Amino acid sequence: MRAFLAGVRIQFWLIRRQPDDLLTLCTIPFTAVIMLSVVIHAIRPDLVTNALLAPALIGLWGFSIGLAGEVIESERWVGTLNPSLAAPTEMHSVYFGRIMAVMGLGVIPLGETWLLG
Amino acid sequence: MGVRVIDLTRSFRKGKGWRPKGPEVTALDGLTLEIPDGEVHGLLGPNGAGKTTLCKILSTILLPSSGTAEVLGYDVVADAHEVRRRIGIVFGGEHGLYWKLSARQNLRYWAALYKLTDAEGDHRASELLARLGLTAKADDLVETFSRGMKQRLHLARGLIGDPKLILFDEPTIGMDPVAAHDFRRLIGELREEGRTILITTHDMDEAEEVCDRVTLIDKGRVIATESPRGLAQMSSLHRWVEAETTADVTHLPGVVAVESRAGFVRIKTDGDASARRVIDFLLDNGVRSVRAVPPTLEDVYLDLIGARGMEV
Ligand SMILES: Nc1ncnc2c1ncn2[C@@H]1O[C@H](COP(=O)(O)OP(=O)(O)O)[C@@H](O)[C@H]1O
Ligand SMILES: [Mg+2]
Repeated sequence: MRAFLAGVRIQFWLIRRQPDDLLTLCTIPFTAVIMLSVVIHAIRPDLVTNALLAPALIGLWGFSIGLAGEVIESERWVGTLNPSLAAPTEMHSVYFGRIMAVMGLGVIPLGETWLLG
Repeated sequence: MGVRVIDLTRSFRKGKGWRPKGPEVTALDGLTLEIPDGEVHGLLGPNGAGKTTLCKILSTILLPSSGTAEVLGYDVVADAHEVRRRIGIVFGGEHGLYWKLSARQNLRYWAALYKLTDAEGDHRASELLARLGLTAKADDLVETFSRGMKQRLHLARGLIGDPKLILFDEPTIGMDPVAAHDFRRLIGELREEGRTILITTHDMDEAEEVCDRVTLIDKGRVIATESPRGLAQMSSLHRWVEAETTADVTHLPGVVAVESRAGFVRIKTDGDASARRVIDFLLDNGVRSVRAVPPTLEDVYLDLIGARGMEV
Protein backbone atom coordinates (compact mmCIF):
# COMPACT_ATOMS: atom_id res chain seq x y z
CA MET A 1 0.00 0.00 0.00
CA ARG A 2 2.86 2.32 0.82
CA ALA A 3 4.37 1.62 -2.59
CA PHE A 4 1.05 2.37 -4.24
CA LEU A 5 0.77 5.69 -2.41
CA ALA A 6 4.35 6.57 -3.23
CA GLY A 7 3.41 6.05 -6.88
CA VAL A 8 0.31 8.21 -6.61
CA ARG A 9 2.28 10.94 -4.87
CA ILE A 10 5.16 11.11 -7.30
CA GLN A 11 2.76 11.13 -10.24
CA PHE A 12 1.00 14.18 -8.80
CA TRP A 13 4.35 15.87 -8.21
CA LEU A 14 5.39 15.13 -11.77
CA ILE A 15 2.13 16.25 -13.34
CA ARG A 16 2.31 19.52 -11.48
CA ARG A 17 5.71 20.23 -13.05
CA GLN A 18 4.90 19.05 -16.55
CA PRO A 19 1.18 19.43 -17.08
CA ASP A 20 1.37 18.45 -20.76
CA ASP A 21 -0.15 15.11 -19.77
CA LEU A 22 -3.24 17.04 -18.88
CA LEU A 23 -3.65 18.46 -22.37
CA THR A 24 -6.22 15.82 -23.24
CA LEU A 25 -8.39 17.15 -20.46
CA CYS A 26 -8.67 20.45 -22.29
CA THR A 27 -9.79 18.88 -25.54
CA ILE A 28 -12.61 16.86 -24.04
CA PRO A 29 -15.28 19.57 -23.78
CA PHE A 30 -14.68 20.50 -27.41
CA THR A 31 -14.97 16.92 -28.60
CA ALA A 32 -18.15 16.68 -26.61
CA VAL A 33 -19.53 19.80 -28.27
CA ILE A 34 -18.80 18.35 -31.71
CA MET A 35 -20.41 15.05 -30.83
CA LEU A 36 -23.41 16.83 -29.39
CA SER A 37 -23.93 19.00 -32.42
CA VAL A 38 -23.81 15.92 -34.67
CA VAL A 39 -26.37 14.17 -32.52
CA ILE A 40 -28.61 17.23 -32.31
CA HIS A 41 -28.35 17.83 -36.04
CA ALA A 42 -29.45 14.28 -36.66
CA ILE A 43 -32.29 14.80 -34.18
CA ARG A 44 -31.37 11.70 -32.22
CA PRO A 45 -31.92 12.70 -28.57
CA ASP A 46 -31.53 9.05 -27.57
CA LEU A 47 -27.79 9.34 -28.41
CA VAL A 48 -27.07 12.43 -26.33
CA THR A 49 -25.81 10.36 -23.40
CA ASN A 50 -23.44 8.50 -25.69
CA ALA A 51 -22.20 11.73 -27.21
CA LEU A 52 -21.35 13.03 -23.79
CA LEU A 53 -19.90 9.84 -22.38
CA ALA A 54 -17.74 8.94 -25.36
CA PRO A 55 -15.29 11.90 -25.21
CA ALA A 56 -14.89 11.38 -21.49
CA LEU A 57 -14.10 7.70 -21.93
CA ILE A 58 -11.76 8.48 -24.81
CA GLY A 59 -9.96 10.98 -22.61
CA LEU A 60 -9.74 8.60 -19.69
CA TRP A 61 -8.61 5.73 -21.82
CA GLY A 62 -6.08 7.61 -23.94
CA PHE A 63 -4.65 9.24 -20.90
CA SER A 64 -4.09 6.07 -18.90
CA ILE A 65 -2.93 3.92 -21.81
CA GLY A 66 -0.48 6.66 -22.75
CA LEU A 67 1.05 6.77 -19.32
CA ALA A 68 0.97 3.04 -18.74
CA GLY A 69 2.85 2.50 -21.96
CA GLU A 70 5.24 5.29 -21.29
CA VAL A 71 6.19 4.77 -17.69
CA ILE A 72 8.85 2.07 -18.18
CA GLU A 73 10.30 3.82 -21.21
CA SER A 74 10.52 7.14 -19.39
CA GLU A 75 11.96 5.57 -16.24
CA ARG A 76 14.64 4.07 -18.42
CA TRP A 77 15.27 7.35 -20.12
CA VAL A 78 15.56 9.21 -16.84
CA GLY A 79 17.86 6.44 -15.57
CA THR A 80 15.73 5.59 -12.56
CA LEU A 81 14.79 2.13 -13.81
CA ASN A 82 17.99 0.45 -12.60
CA PRO A 83 17.92 1.89 -9.09
CA SER A 84 14.22 1.11 -8.81
CA LEU A 85 14.91 -2.50 -9.66
CA ALA A 86 17.51 -2.62 -6.91
CA ALA A 87 15.10 -1.15 -4.34
CA PRO A 88 13.32 -3.51 -1.97
CA THR A 89 9.83 -2.54 -3.18
CA GLU A 90 8.04 -4.36 -5.96
CA MET A 91 7.82 -1.70 -8.61
CA HIS A 92 4.51 -2.83 -10.09
CA SER A 93 2.66 -1.45 -7.07
CA VAL A 94 4.40 1.88 -7.54
CA TYR A 95 3.64 2.02 -11.26
CA PHE A 96 0.08 0.88 -10.56
CA GLY A 97 -0.19 3.83 -8.17
CA ARG A 98 1.10 6.17 -10.84
CA ILE A 99 -1.39 4.88 -13.39
CA MET A 100 -4.26 5.05 -10.92
CA ALA A 101 -3.33 8.63 -10.12
CA VAL A 102 -3.76 9.45 -13.78
CA MET A 103 -6.97 7.45 -13.96
CA GLY A 104 -8.22 9.45 -11.02
CA LEU A 105 -7.50 12.63 -12.92
CA GLY A 106 -9.16 11.04 -15.92
CA VAL A 107 -12.42 11.15 -14.01
CA ILE A 108 -12.29 14.94 -14.38
CA PRO A 109 -13.42 14.73 -18.03
CA LEU A 110 -16.48 12.82 -16.86
CA GLY A 111 -17.28 15.76 -14.63
CA GLU A 112 -16.49 18.20 -17.39
CA THR A 113 -18.93 16.65 -19.82
CA TRP A 114 -21.50 16.23 -17.12
CA LEU A 115 -21.29 19.98 -16.51
CA LEU A 116 -21.71 20.58 -20.22
CA GLY A 117 -24.72 18.31 -20.31
CA MET B 1 31.40 -11.78 4.35
CA GLY B 2 30.32 -8.67 2.47
CA VAL B 3 30.51 -10.12 -1.01
CA ARG B 4 31.31 -13.62 -2.16
CA VAL B 5 31.37 -14.25 -5.88
CA ILE B 6 32.25 -17.72 -7.15
CA ASP B 7 32.96 -18.54 -10.77
CA LEU B 8 30.51 -15.94 -11.97
CA THR B 9 29.79 -15.79 -15.69
CA ARG B 10 27.54 -13.48 -17.62
CA SER B 11 27.23 -13.24 -21.36
CA PHE B 12 25.19 -11.02 -23.61
CA ARG B 13 24.00 -11.55 -27.12
CA LYS B 14 24.62 -8.56 -29.34
CA GLY B 15 21.81 -7.28 -31.47
CA LYS B 16 18.37 -5.81 -31.16
CA GLY B 17 14.99 -7.08 -30.20
CA TRP B 18 13.55 -9.61 -27.82
CA ARG B 19 15.89 -12.46 -28.80
CA PRO B 20 19.01 -10.96 -30.37
CA LYS B 21 20.71 -13.23 -32.87
CA GLY B 22 24.16 -11.64 -32.89
CA PRO B 23 27.43 -13.03 -31.55
CA GLU B 24 27.71 -13.74 -27.84
CA VAL B 25 29.84 -11.41 -25.73
CA THR B 26 31.22 -12.65 -22.44
CA ALA B 27 31.18 -9.77 -19.97
CA LEU B 28 32.16 -11.85 -16.92
CA ASP B 29 34.18 -15.00 -17.40
CA GLY B 30 34.46 -17.17 -14.30
CA LEU B 31 35.02 -14.31 -11.88
CA THR B 32 35.80 -15.16 -8.25
CA LEU B 33 36.05 -12.49 -5.60
CA GLU B 34 35.63 -12.16 -1.83
CA ILE B 35 35.17 -8.91 0.05
CA PRO B 36 35.08 -9.14 3.85
CA ASP B 37 32.66 -7.02 5.88
CA GLY B 38 33.72 -3.44 6.38
CA GLU B 39 36.25 -3.36 3.55
CA VAL B 40 36.53 -0.63 0.94
CA HIS B 41 37.25 -2.56 -2.21
CA GLY B 42 38.25 -1.05 -5.53
CA LEU B 43 37.43 -2.59 -8.88
CA LEU B 44 39.79 -1.44 -11.59
CA GLY B 45 39.87 -2.33 -15.23
CA PRO B 46 39.64 -0.90 -18.72
CA ASN B 47 36.36 -0.06 -20.42
CA GLY B 48 34.39 -3.21 -21.17
CA ALA B 49 36.16 -5.23 -18.48
CA GLY B 50 32.83 -6.12 -16.89
CA LYS B 51 32.83 -3.82 -13.87
CA THR B 52 29.35 -2.44 -14.42
CA THR B 53 28.03 -5.90 -15.20
CA LEU B 54 29.36 -7.16 -11.86
CA CYS B 55 27.78 -4.23 -10.00
CA LYS B 56 24.46 -4.91 -11.70
CA ILE B 57 24.54 -8.58 -10.78
CA LEU B 58 25.41 -7.79 -7.17
CA SER B 59 22.54 -5.30 -7.01
CA THR B 60 20.10 -7.90 -8.46
CA ILE B 61 19.43 -5.83 -11.58
CA LEU B 62 20.96 -8.48 -13.84
CA LEU B 63 20.90 -12.24 -13.47
CA PRO B 64 24.12 -14.22 -13.78
CA SER B 65 24.45 -16.72 -16.61
CA SER B 66 26.19 -19.16 -14.28
CA GLY B 67 28.07 -19.22 -10.99
CA THR B 68 26.96 -17.77 -7.67
CA ALA B 69 27.10 -14.38 -6.04
CA GLU B 70 26.29 -13.72 -2.39
CA VAL B 71 25.87 -10.33 -0.80
CA LEU B 72 26.00 -10.16 3.01
CA GLY B 73 25.32 -13.89 3.06
CA TYR B 74 22.29 -13.78 0.76
CA ASP B 75 22.22 -15.19 -2.74
CA VAL B 76 21.52 -12.50 -5.33
CA VAL B 77 19.13 -14.77 -7.22
CA ALA B 78 17.37 -16.80 -4.55
CA ASP B 79 17.26 -14.12 -1.83
CA ALA B 80 17.15 -11.05 -4.06
CA HIS B 81 14.71 -9.35 -1.74
CA GLU B 82 16.96 -9.69 1.30
CA VAL B 83 19.86 -8.36 -0.75
CA ARG B 84 17.90 -5.32 -1.93
CA ARG B 85 16.98 -4.31 1.60
CA ARG B 86 20.62 -4.12 2.59
CA ILE B 87 22.39 -2.49 -0.31
CA GLY B 88 22.62 0.97 -1.80
CA ILE B 89 23.76 1.74 -5.32
CA VAL B 90 25.28 4.85 -6.82
CA PHE B 91 25.78 4.46 -10.54
CA GLY B 92 27.72 7.46 -11.79
CA GLY B 93 26.65 10.24 -14.08
CA GLU B 94 23.73 12.58 -13.84
CA HIS B 95 21.04 10.06 -14.62
CA GLY B 96 18.78 8.42 -12.12
CA LEU B 97 17.06 11.46 -10.65
CA TYR B 98 13.75 13.11 -11.47
CA TRP B 99 14.81 16.49 -12.79
CA LYS B 100 11.32 17.91 -12.51
CA LEU B 101 11.21 17.28 -8.78
CA SER B 102 13.05 18.96 -5.95
CA ALA B 103 15.97 17.27 -4.21
CA ARG B 104 13.80 16.63 -1.18
CA GLN B 105 10.96 15.16 -3.24
CA ASN B 106 13.41 12.83 -4.96
CA LEU B 107 14.69 11.59 -1.62
CA ARG B 108 11.21 11.23 -0.14
CA TYR B 109 10.18 9.10 -3.11
CA TRP B 110 13.18 6.81 -2.74
CA ALA B 111 12.67 6.66 1.02
CA ALA B 112 9.21 5.26 0.36
CA LEU B 113 10.70 2.66 -1.98
CA TYR B 114 13.04 1.68 0.84
CA LYS B 115 9.97 1.15 3.04
CA LEU B 116 10.48 4.11 5.32
CA THR B 117 7.35 5.74 6.68
CA ASP B 118 6.67 9.34 5.62
CA ALA B 119 7.99 10.71 8.90
CA GLU B 120 11.13 8.59 8.78
CA GLY B 121 11.58 9.46 5.12
CA ASP B 122 11.34 13.21 5.77
CA HIS B 123 13.76 12.93 8.63
CA ARG B 124 16.26 10.84 6.70
CA ALA B 125 16.01 13.10 3.64
CA SER B 126 16.82 16.19 5.71
CA GLU B 127 19.66 14.40 7.43
CA LEU B 128 21.24 13.32 4.14
CA LEU B 129 20.72 16.69 2.48
CA ALA B 130 22.57 18.28 5.39
CA ARG B 131 25.31 15.67 5.29
CA LEU B 132 25.93 16.31 1.61
CA GLY B 133 25.68 20.08 1.88
CA LEU B 134 22.46 20.42 -0.09
CA THR B 135 20.22 21.89 2.58
CA ALA B 136 20.13 25.31 0.97
CA LYS B 137 18.98 23.82 -2.33
CA ALA B 138 16.73 21.15 -0.85
CA ASP B 139 13.54 22.53 -2.34
CA ASP B 140 14.92 23.60 -5.72
CA LEU B 141 14.24 21.55 -8.82
CA VAL B 142 17.02 19.12 -9.68
CA GLU B 143 17.15 20.49 -13.24
CA THR B 144 18.60 23.70 -11.82
CA PHE B 145 21.45 21.81 -10.12
CA SER B 146 25.05 21.80 -11.25
CA ARG B 147 26.57 18.49 -12.15
CA GLY B 148 28.37 18.21 -8.83
CA MET B 149 25.17 18.86 -6.92
CA LYS B 150 23.36 16.17 -8.88
CA GLN B 151 26.15 13.77 -8.03
CA ARG B 152 25.84 14.61 -4.36
CA LEU B 153 22.12 14.03 -4.55
CA HIS B 154 22.90 10.66 -6.10
CA LEU B 155 25.04 9.81 -3.13
CA ALA B 156 22.23 10.83 -0.81
CA ARG B 157 19.84 8.63 -2.77
CA GLY B 158 22.21 5.69 -2.49
CA LEU B 159 22.37 6.11 1.28
CA ILE B 160 18.65 6.51 1.89
CA GLY B 161 18.08 2.88 2.89
CA ASP B 162 20.93 2.88 5.43
CA PRO B 163 22.75 0.20 3.40
CA LYS B 164 25.29 -2.25 4.83
CA LEU B 165 26.90 -2.58 1.40
CA ILE B 166 27.23 0.25 -1.08
CA LEU B 167 28.07 -0.24 -4.74
CA PHE B 168 29.63 2.77 -6.43
CA ASP B 169 30.03 2.56 -10.20
CA GLU B 170 32.36 5.32 -11.34
CA PRO B 171 31.01 7.78 -8.79
CA THR B 172 33.59 10.49 -9.36
CA ILE B 173 33.43 10.57 -13.14
CA GLY B 174 33.45 14.23 -14.13
CA MET B 175 33.69 15.52 -10.56
CA ASP B 176 35.78 18.60 -9.94
CA PRO B 177 38.77 18.20 -7.58
CA VAL B 178 37.02 19.70 -4.58
CA ALA B 179 34.01 17.44 -5.01
CA ALA B 180 36.28 14.45 -5.51
CA HIS B 181 38.11 15.32 -2.32
CA ASP B 182 34.83 15.56 -0.41
CA PHE B 183 33.83 12.25 -1.90
CA ARG B 184 36.96 10.57 -0.56
CA ARG B 185 36.21 11.95 2.86
CA LEU B 186 32.66 10.61 2.64
CA ILE B 187 33.99 7.15 1.77
CA GLY B 188 36.20 7.37 4.86
CA GLU B 189 33.20 8.24 7.01
CA LEU B 190 31.13 5.42 5.55
CA ARG B 191 33.91 3.00 6.32
CA GLU B 192 34.05 4.28 9.92
CA GLU B 193 30.35 3.49 10.14
CA GLY B 194 31.22 -0.11 9.31
CA ARG B 195 29.73 -0.28 5.85
CA THR B 196 31.22 -2.45 3.13
CA ILE B 197 32.01 -0.58 -0.06
CA LEU B 198 32.68 -1.72 -3.61
CA ILE B 199 33.81 1.06 -5.87
CA THR B 200 34.73 0.99 -9.55
CA THR B 201 36.89 3.80 -10.76
CA HIS B 202 39.37 4.88 -13.35
CA ASP B 203 41.08 7.21 -10.94
CA MET B 204 44.15 5.38 -9.64
CA ASP B 205 45.01 8.02 -7.06
CA GLU B 206 41.54 7.73 -5.67
CA ALA B 207 41.74 3.94 -5.54
CA GLU B 208 45.13 4.11 -3.87
CA GLU B 209 43.86 6.56 -1.29
CA VAL B 210 40.50 5.10 -0.30
CA CYS B 211 40.69 1.37 -0.97
CA ASP B 212 41.82 -1.29 1.48
CA ARG B 213 42.23 -3.70 -1.40
CA VAL B 214 41.79 -3.48 -5.14
CA THR B 215 40.97 -6.05 -7.77
CA LEU B 216 42.22 -5.62 -11.30
CA ILE B 217 39.89 -7.16 -13.83
CA ASP B 218 40.19 -7.47 -17.56
CA LYS B 219 37.90 -9.23 -20.02
CA GLY B 220 35.71 -10.45 -17.18
CA ARG B 221 38.54 -12.19 -15.35
CA VAL B 222 40.40 -11.27 -12.17
CA ILE B 223 44.04 -10.44 -12.78
CA ALA B 224 44.99 -9.69 -9.20
CA THR B 225 43.48 -8.83 -5.81
CA GLU B 226 45.76 -7.06 -3.37
CA SER B 227 46.17 -3.96 -1.27
CA PRO B 228 47.29 -1.09 -3.50
CA ARG B 229 50.72 -1.18 -1.85
CA GLY B 230 50.97 -4.94 -1.94
CA LEU B 231 50.12 -4.95 -5.59
CA ALA B 232 52.97 -2.61 -6.31
CA GLN B 233 55.40 -4.77 -4.35
CA MET B 234 54.12 -8.05 -5.69
CA SER B 235 54.48 -7.16 -9.30
CA SER B 236 58.00 -7.51 -10.66
CA LEU B 237 57.85 -3.91 -11.50
CA HIS B 238 60.25 -1.25 -12.35
CA ARG B 239 61.47 1.04 -9.62
CA TRP B 240 61.24 4.71 -10.20
CA VAL B 241 63.83 7.29 -9.30
CA GLU B 242 62.80 10.89 -8.95
CA ALA B 243 65.54 13.51 -9.07
CA GLU B 244 66.10 17.20 -9.49
CA THR B 245 68.96 17.25 -11.95
CA THR B 246 70.07 18.15 -15.42
CA ALA B 247 72.36 15.13 -15.81
CA ASP B 248 71.61 12.75 -18.66
CA VAL B 249 70.99 9.18 -17.51
CA THR B 250 69.47 7.65 -20.62
CA HIS B 251 72.70 5.80 -21.48
CA LEU B 252 72.86 3.92 -18.15
CA PRO B 253 72.05 0.20 -18.24
CA GLY B 254 68.66 -0.71 -16.81
CA VAL B 255 67.04 2.62 -17.56
CA VAL B 256 63.73 1.96 -19.28
CA ALA B 257 62.34 5.45 -19.68
CA VAL B 258 63.00 9.01 -18.63
CA GLU B 259 60.36 11.69 -18.28
CA SER B 260 61.61 15.15 -17.54
CA ARG B 261 59.64 18.21 -16.63
CA ALA B 262 61.03 21.58 -15.54
CA GLY B 263 64.37 20.35 -14.24
CA PHE B 264 62.71 17.42 -12.52
CA VAL B 265 63.11 13.90 -13.92
CA ARG B 266 61.30 10.63 -13.33
CA ILE B 267 63.47 7.69 -14.31
CA LYS B 268 61.96 4.27 -14.82
CA THR B 269 64.40 1.44 -14.16
CA ASP B 270 64.03 -2.31 -14.52
CA GLY B 271 64.75 -3.21 -10.90
CA ASP B 272 66.30 -2.35 -7.55
CA ALA B 273 69.89 -2.83 -8.73
CA SER B 274 69.45 -0.52 -11.68
CA ALA B 275 67.73 2.04 -9.50
CA ARG B 276 70.70 1.99 -7.14
CA ARG B 277 73.09 2.42 -10.08
CA VAL B 278 71.11 5.44 -11.30
CA ILE B 279 71.13 6.99 -7.84
CA ASP B 280 74.89 6.45 -7.49
CA PHE B 281 75.46 8.01 -10.88
CA LEU B 282 73.33 11.01 -10.02
CA LEU B 283 75.05 11.52 -6.67
CA ASP B 284 78.40 11.63 -8.49
CA ASN B 285 77.11 14.00 -11.15
CA GLY B 286 75.51 16.83 -9.31
CA VAL B 287 71.95 16.40 -8.13
CA ARG B 288 69.89 18.63 -5.88
CA SER B 289 67.55 15.94 -4.61
CA VAL B 290 66.94 12.30 -5.38
CA ARG B 291 64.70 9.56 -4.12
CA ALA B 292 63.57 6.11 -5.12
CA VAL B 293 59.83 5.65 -5.27
CA PRO B 294 57.78 2.48 -5.46
CA PRO B 295 55.55 2.15 -8.50
CA THR B 296 52.15 3.78 -8.13
CA LEU B 297 48.94 1.89 -8.64
CA GLU B 298 48.75 3.51 -12.04
CA ASP B 299 52.14 2.04 -13.04
CA VAL B 300 50.99 -1.38 -11.91
CA TYR B 301 47.74 -1.00 -13.77
CA LEU B 302 49.44 0.02 -16.98
CA ASP B 303 51.94 -2.79 -16.58
CA LEU B 304 49.36 -5.51 -15.94
CA ILE B 305 46.58 -4.38 -18.22
CA GLY B 306 48.82 -2.79 -20.81
CA ALA B 307 48.14 0.39 -22.66
CA ARG B 308 44.96 -0.92 -24.20
CA GLY B 309 42.71 1.77 -22.83
CA MET B 310 41.51 2.83 -26.24
CA GLU B 311 40.42 -0.59 -27.36
CA VAL B 312 36.84 -1.56 -26.77
N1 LIG C 1 23.08 -4.88 -22.08
C1 LIG C 1 24.15 -5.32 -22.78
N2 LIG C 1 23.98 -5.91 -23.98
C2 LIG C 1 25.03 -6.38 -24.68
N3 LIG C 1 26.30 -6.32 -24.27
C3 LIG C 1 26.55 -5.73 -23.09
C4 LIG C 1 25.49 -5.19 -22.27
N4 LIG C 1 26.03 -4.68 -21.14
C5 LIG C 1 27.37 -4.87 -21.25
N5 LIG C 1 27.69 -5.50 -22.41
C6 LIG C 1 29.05 -5.90 -22.83
O1 LIG C 1 29.69 -6.51 -21.75
C7 LIG C 1 31.03 -6.11 -21.66
C8 LIG C 1 31.33 -5.53 -20.29
O2 LIG C 1 30.64 -4.30 -20.13
P1 LIG C 1 30.65 -3.45 -18.78
O3 LIG C 1 30.34 -4.35 -17.65
O4 LIG C 1 29.75 -2.29 -18.98
O5 LIG C 1 32.17 -2.97 -18.69
P2 LIG C 1 32.84 -1.82 -17.80
O6 LIG C 1 31.80 -1.28 -16.87
O7 LIG C 1 33.96 -2.50 -17.10
O8 LIG C 1 33.34 -0.78 -18.75
C9 LIG C 1 31.27 -5.13 -22.80
O9 LIG C 1 31.90 -5.81 -23.85
C10 LIG C 1 29.89 -4.69 -23.19
O10 LIG C 1 29.84 -4.41 -24.57
MG1 LIG D 1 31.11 0.64 -16.58
